[in-house]
This record gives sequence, structure tokens and C-alpha cells, in this order.
Amino acid sequence: MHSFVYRLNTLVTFAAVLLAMLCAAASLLDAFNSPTVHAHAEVIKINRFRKQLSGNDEVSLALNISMDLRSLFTWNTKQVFIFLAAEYETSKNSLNQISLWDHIVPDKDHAKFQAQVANKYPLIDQGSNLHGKKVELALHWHVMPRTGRMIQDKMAVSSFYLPGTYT
Amino acid sequence: MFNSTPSKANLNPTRSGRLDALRSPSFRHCGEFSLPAMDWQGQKRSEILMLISLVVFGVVAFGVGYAIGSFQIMMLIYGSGVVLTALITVPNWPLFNRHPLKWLDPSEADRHPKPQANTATSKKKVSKQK
Repeated sequence: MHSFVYRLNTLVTFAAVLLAMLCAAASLLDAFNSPTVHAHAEVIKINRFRKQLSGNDEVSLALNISMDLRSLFTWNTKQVFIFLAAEYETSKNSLNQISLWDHIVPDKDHAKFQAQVANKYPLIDQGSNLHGKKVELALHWHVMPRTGRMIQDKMAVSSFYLPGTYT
Repeated sequence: MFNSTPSKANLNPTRSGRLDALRSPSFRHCGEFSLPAMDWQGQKRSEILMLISLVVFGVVAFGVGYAIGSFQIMMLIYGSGVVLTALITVPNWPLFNRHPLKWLDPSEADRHPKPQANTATSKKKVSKQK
């Protein structure tokens, strides 16, 4: 500790180590948060069900989405990324997942809402397997922290059947 | 962790007490840069103060941030705590120099030859005589 530079080096190093410990502690406390999420999403109407030129099925939907994600937010939450996934089974794949709609929730004030939207991303199949198919909707959320581990979870909300013929 | 005050018992008892300063680690660098402006007691105090101050600010920052629920407040308190600690403990404040050690004057030191030089010349004399 015999010179200015030596003391400065010691201080900066120790301050950085303590900062790392503070961030680790903040992230660790997140594990004790047990959130309860209320969400519901359903298909109001199937706008279009057609076959593309490439031979793949394409569906366009109108959705009614409502949710309450306030319990997911802690002091260490930067934002929550949510997306609605359509899941179904085909002969080739046991699980097909397609994201229909996503949204970023920046803070607790914007975490409770209700919206009627068309799907942002079209539901396109690999092939034409969607005739009369049962499709399940699941809401996925990723809680992105300020420091530490990202927590992700999901919840099944509803299911619907696609028509047997193209519209 | 920090240098202890050199005691007379560690050094050659036949030499006079004033030459103890010649064996201090700082004396070797006398011609290169300035002597330390903090004495041994000051360095010890500065280091302990630095460690305790940083830990206290860290704990307080975390506690207040968690209680209020604001990550930004935690970072602000901790950041200002680091800057404050740096201002108090890093520069050579006079309060850390209350027990200064009196180093030997360089002109006085030149009149007494260094011990390593003596043994080398005596060995040379012995070999030449043979």
C-alpha cells in the first residue's frame, strides 16, 4: 500500500469483486419469487386457410389475448418477453411449434392488458397437414433480469380445430 | 498484507542504529522516484478503512435497493460509495502521515560503504594473496 497507484489498483479490484457479489445476490433472490400468471388467448375467427404456391399450408387468424403478468416483475427484472405459440402434431414431427404473436412488456404498469390482434406471423406448415388439425395455443414468457439468470415458463391457454377445407 | 515497521532486532546488531534506514525497501528506489508520503501506520489505517468502507457501502446499497425495490438506487449508492472511498483512502492525505519515519540523509549514507561491497573486496584480497 505504499503508492497511490497500488492503493488505487487494490480499491478498483475489490470494488469490482464486491459488485459481482451484489449482482449475484440480487439474482439469487429472484429464485424466491413464486409468480402467479393469469392469461387467456383464443381464436376469434380463422381469416384465411389456403395452400401456398410452395405447397405449404398457411393460416391467418384473429386472436383475443388477455393477461396479467404483474407478479413476474421483481426489482431485478428488465423486461418480459412473451409469445403465443401454436402447437400441433403431424405424422413427420411429434411437436410443431410456431410463434403467432409476441410482445415485450417493459415494466409492471404495462403487464396487465387485453388485445384483439391478427397474428403477427403466419402459421405456415411444412407440407399440408393442417386439414382438421387440433392446434393448441400456449403462452410462453421469458423474464429477462438486469443481472443473472433468465427464467422462462409457459402455460397452455386454449385449443382450436382447423377446418377440413381451404377457405 | 502491509509492511511492518523494521525492528532493530532483525538487523545486524554491530551496525549503528542510523544505518537501519539503508535496509528499508524504499531506500533502494531513492534515486528513481519520491519516498512514500504515507507512513507504515497510515498505510495500515488506509487499507483497513478502504476494505471496511467498501463492504459497508455494498451492504447498505443492497439493503436499501432491495427494500425500496429499485436496482438503480442500489447502483447509485454503491457507485458513490466507491468514489467516496477512493477520495478518502487513495491520495496521500497528511492524516495518514502522523508517524513519519526519519530516513537517513543521502549525503550521510555516502560516507558509509554498503556491506555487500566490503565482503566482495575482502574475498578478492584473499584470492590475490594466494
